[in-house]
Amino acid sequence: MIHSLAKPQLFLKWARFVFPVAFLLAGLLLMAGLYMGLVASPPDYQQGEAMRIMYVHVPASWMALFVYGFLALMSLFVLVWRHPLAEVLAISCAPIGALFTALSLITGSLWGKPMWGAYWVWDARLTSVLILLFLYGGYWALYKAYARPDQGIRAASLLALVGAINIPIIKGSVVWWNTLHQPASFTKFSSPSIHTTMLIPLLLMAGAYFFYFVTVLILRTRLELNRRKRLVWEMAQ
Amino acid sequence: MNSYFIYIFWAYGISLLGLGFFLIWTGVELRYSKIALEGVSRET
Repeated sequence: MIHSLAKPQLFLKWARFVFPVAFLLAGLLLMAGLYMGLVASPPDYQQGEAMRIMYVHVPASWMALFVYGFLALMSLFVLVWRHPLAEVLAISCAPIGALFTALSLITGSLWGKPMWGAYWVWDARLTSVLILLFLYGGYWALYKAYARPDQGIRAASLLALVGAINIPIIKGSVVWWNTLHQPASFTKFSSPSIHTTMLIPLLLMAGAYFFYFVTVLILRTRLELNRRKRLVWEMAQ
Repeated sequence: MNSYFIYIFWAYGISLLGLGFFLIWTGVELRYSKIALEGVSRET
């Protein structure tokens, strides 16, 4: 069932319809989120205007974790079923996840300076997210270290699966250890500890980041399929 | 805005530039991959 549905050709056909929708949604949600986050939402009673950094920091952090979860799932498909589309999707999502992680770290340090007085502290949350960035980098380096993509992807998939242990560590880091980083303010939909005026721009930006991921994932999947086609033709010559 | 403006400016600026640059770079890479693929198929 999975094999018959998840063919690269079928994905490309499906992507032709999804791409413009995702691109448009990403743009619209981003514009709405920026307006709400920078203009319409009120400043925080404790952090003042600096809290507005949350609207770019938190969605980037959520997406960094989400993309790694997606990468780990695709890596499982690669190792267990050796599925060609899972290979392509895993390779395509890794740089996007690394981008979100880097943005999370940069915006976090820009938020940390006015709030904590330092751009960086070796806090459990910050360190575990830095390890996530290294995992994305290690995944990419391991994939590229092999001359044959089929060998590289298996080694990299193993690293991605082992590295998945870091995801619950990142989530739990603010609870398990006494950290400078604030605990999660959004743990469940029923009673988030954040006011609606701040929740709406946060969700709009999260939606924009998600659809940005879908847009770039489709582009990078096409790119990877083109690279593979070229490799096959060159080997055939 | 107040003294926090510079941090907000950089956080939004880097985020938007990062996302925008990566999207454009991916688009350019895709364009070149298509050209390279057409070149290989023409040779064979």
